[in-house]
Amino acid sequence: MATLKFYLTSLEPDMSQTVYSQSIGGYISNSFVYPETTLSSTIGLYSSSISLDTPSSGSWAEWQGIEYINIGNELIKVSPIVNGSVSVVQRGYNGIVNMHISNDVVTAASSKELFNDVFNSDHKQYRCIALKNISQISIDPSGTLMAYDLSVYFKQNSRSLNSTIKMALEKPENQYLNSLSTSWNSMQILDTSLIGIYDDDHFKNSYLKIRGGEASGQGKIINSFDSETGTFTFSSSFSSLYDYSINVNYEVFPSPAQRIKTGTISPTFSTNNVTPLLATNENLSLKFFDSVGSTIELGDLNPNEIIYLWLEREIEKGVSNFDNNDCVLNIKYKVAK
Amino acid sequence: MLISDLKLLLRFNSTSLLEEVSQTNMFVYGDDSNVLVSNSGYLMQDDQYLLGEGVSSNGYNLNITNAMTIGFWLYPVNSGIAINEITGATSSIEKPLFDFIDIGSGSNSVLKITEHTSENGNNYLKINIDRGTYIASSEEYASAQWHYFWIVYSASTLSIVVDGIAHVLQNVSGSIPSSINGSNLDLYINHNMDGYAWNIAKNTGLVDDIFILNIANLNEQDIQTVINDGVKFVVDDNFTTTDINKQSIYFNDPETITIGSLIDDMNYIFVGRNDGKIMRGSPLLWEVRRVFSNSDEIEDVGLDPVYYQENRFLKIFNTTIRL
Repeated sequence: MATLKFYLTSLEPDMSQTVYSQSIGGYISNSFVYPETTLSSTIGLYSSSISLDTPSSGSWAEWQGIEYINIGNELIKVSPIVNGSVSVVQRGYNGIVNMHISNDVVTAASSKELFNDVFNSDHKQYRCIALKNISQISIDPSGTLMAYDLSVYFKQNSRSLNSTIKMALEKPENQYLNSLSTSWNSMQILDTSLIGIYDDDHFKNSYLKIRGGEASGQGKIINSFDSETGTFTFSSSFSSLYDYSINVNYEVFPSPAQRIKTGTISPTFSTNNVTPLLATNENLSLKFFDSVGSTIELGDLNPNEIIYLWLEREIEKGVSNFDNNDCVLNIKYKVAK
Repeated sequence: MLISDLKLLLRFNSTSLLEEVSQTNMFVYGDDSNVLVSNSGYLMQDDQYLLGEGVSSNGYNLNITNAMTIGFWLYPVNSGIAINEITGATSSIEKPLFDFIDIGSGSNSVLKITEHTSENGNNYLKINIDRGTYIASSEEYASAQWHYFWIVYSASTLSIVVDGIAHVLQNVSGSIPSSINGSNLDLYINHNMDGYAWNIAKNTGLVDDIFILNIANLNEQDIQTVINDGVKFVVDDNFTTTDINKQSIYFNDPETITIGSLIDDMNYIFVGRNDGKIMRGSPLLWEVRRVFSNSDEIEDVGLDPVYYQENRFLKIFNTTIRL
């Protein structure tokens, strides 16, 4: 079954992002926007206590101050979390009450440090997070792992009259690719199966990672792609010690989003790949437009594919009080069972 | 397409009371023929009961011998405790729910499910297999809220799962039969074949989405799917997709900003905050800040505390001080 998760963005690929407010575009990082763990036992429709497995970090520190958790479709308000025994304050905070079974993913539905108090002269700040379909066939053998009919919108915008949050979506230029080299060396991979399929530089700035052999796990940023020969050229070279006579499996990750220098600089909106900014709601979700203005639905997200989500937060000039300045973001999609 | 293990499906989508496997409608009996069906299911009434007899009144072809799974939603009503007018004894009130009758015998109950009230406002279910050969009850559950029941019979065990949680069987009597005669059965809803008494009354709760499989299925994921998404997602192959709704909350400004690093390069002091902001300050300003704990310390720098204290801060004007 398809599973989507939010990640922070970072300047470099395949890195952790520990400073939330530096999630301002670029590559998808390895860090979740929200801490997560799993249920250690089943909870029924009316259970008022929840048992959580210890997070992979081994610590509950990042769960401090969390008031809401997300399990499946249900949003649950909870007492302060200090360990795996959690008391429920209110089930079905979003109007949905579900049954949850052991090992279901539990997400802390609060990101307290994504925004900060640094605004530009227009009293705005920007952040970028990535939404990724993390389903993997080796983990989940169930039929289709695609997320269908994806829509992303604010279930609730800021409750403060002095603050508004808008969103825009950015499509990567290229999505995920997994293939086998025809030949390679320290600076290039040639893959004849790609000849003529993609435009020149279609994969420029994307991150390529080797999946097997001596260089397994090593990656480089693609500097150029030549459609005529199916050749990737890297921005820096792999080690000269690898045996380049053995072809390798490789994967190319979705291309990065725009990267802004600071969170106070606006990225470019309303292009072929970036929607306009919109204070979305359930009946007003985002769509892409092509160069002639035709609507392109967000559509489906295959495993390993990404869509970037830009958030613009604007405050009224001179406001000193930011109470009730939270917003609720909703992702809705269909999954095959 | 309905799966082959499914033997009965009543979703109460209309007053025709269609059973979807046999494609036959249930019959309405009693003083009130007005069937109350809504999106919330079938509202049982104290002057009405339902009978399902399958195709050509041959009973529902359930084909059950030694395994069965029955699931349904129930909105229970607690009608209190009955008092015997003659003896003054109090008793739980028994209320019929489902009774599956062997059509060959005419009245033999193969599986009877009744609801019972408790004094504390809760109810519990009693499962009676093969006319008392085996009887067991669920734990108590709260009335006046929806519950999902998933009951599994196999040749050696009976399991009752309520709202996704397995109940410990209560008041167990008899031995569970290794097989039952469940080939063709009539189904009564809200009807007690043995009649009514001071502590037996009609059920006035709501019931919905009743299904029966002729296999023993205790798969927790299936129970979860039926509860969260609906019975069709387990018993109908055509229901292959479901909606996922994930909600996340972005909070307002950080409540606490902490200093993660501090560097003095002899020209400026740089402070790194946990929210990513880097602040630059004058080392001169930082180094000359003084905290005075008493008047003597103020006098030490050549100031008269009487004239230069203001709201616990030092106010300096038209004078010079030693740094």
